[in-house]
Amino acid sequence: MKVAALFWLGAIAVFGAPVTSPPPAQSQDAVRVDVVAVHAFSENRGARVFDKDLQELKEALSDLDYDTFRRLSATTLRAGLNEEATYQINSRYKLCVKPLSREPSGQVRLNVRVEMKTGAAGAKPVNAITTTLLISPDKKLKLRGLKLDNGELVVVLMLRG
Amino acid sequence: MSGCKWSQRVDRWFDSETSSESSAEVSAHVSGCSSCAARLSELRRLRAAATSAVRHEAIGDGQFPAFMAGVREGLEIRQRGWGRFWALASLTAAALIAAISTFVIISDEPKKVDATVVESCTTDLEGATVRTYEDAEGDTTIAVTMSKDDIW
Repeated sequence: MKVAALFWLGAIAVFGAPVTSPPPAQSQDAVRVDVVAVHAFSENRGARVFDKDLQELKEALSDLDYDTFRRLSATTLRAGLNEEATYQINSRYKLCVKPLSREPSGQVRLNVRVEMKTGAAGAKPVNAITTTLLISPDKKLKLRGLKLDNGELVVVLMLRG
Repeated sequence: MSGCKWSQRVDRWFDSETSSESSAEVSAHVSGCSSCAARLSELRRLRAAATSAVRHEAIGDGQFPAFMAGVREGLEIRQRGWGRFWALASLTAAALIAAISTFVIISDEPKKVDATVVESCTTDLEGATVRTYEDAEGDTTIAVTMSKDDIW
């Protein structure tokens, strides 16, 4: 009898708790995206050279046909849903990230743009890349092909889990 | 009241309180004594009347242990019945909870999706193209290819 009573109390405690507990605040949290800007170029080296700060990105940069990789800058962007966070990479390129939704799968729908200043003074920047994607936490997104000096700008984004 | 001196023996005989020898004597006497026969008849009438009335059985000291044993047995039987009910209810509930938990875990838990899905990808650069690809690590690349003689 006592065992049965304890069982019922336990069952109520276990199954009653989720009903009364507040919903997770995850959807209210800002989306955080790590950004690393890399300048990739060639200096006719025999081997690939990475900045010491880029050791974690060696795998992600391995498909690029350059031998020198220098980190230009890095930051973490924070933005709530439908809020745009911007990051001026250098005098020519600006990164804009706008989280659109959080998916039950853990993915975040992001709108990402790379604005590029044109040569004409006072001219409106052009969207060199505009993309909407569902990105998973801890997966990297690489934006590349943006001309920079004798090489290209590579922007690596990673959604914080 | 009977006037015969055997009347008290007749009473005891009627109440089965006499020995078998004495019983035979009383029986023989009653058959020859009209007073005692009348007394016996009266006693039988009274007993019949008492039997037909509502009976409240008194429990004697000698019967009390057996009476209590019966009460305990009844209580135990009743408790066993409720115990079985609760055990069955608990088992049923446990099975139900296990089934619901399994269902919730299997069906409601959102599956973690590792792949990045590019829904749209464009460039406003004149003469440039854009493409996407995924490497072996599952990381996604969006590459813009600018024209060689771009003015930027």
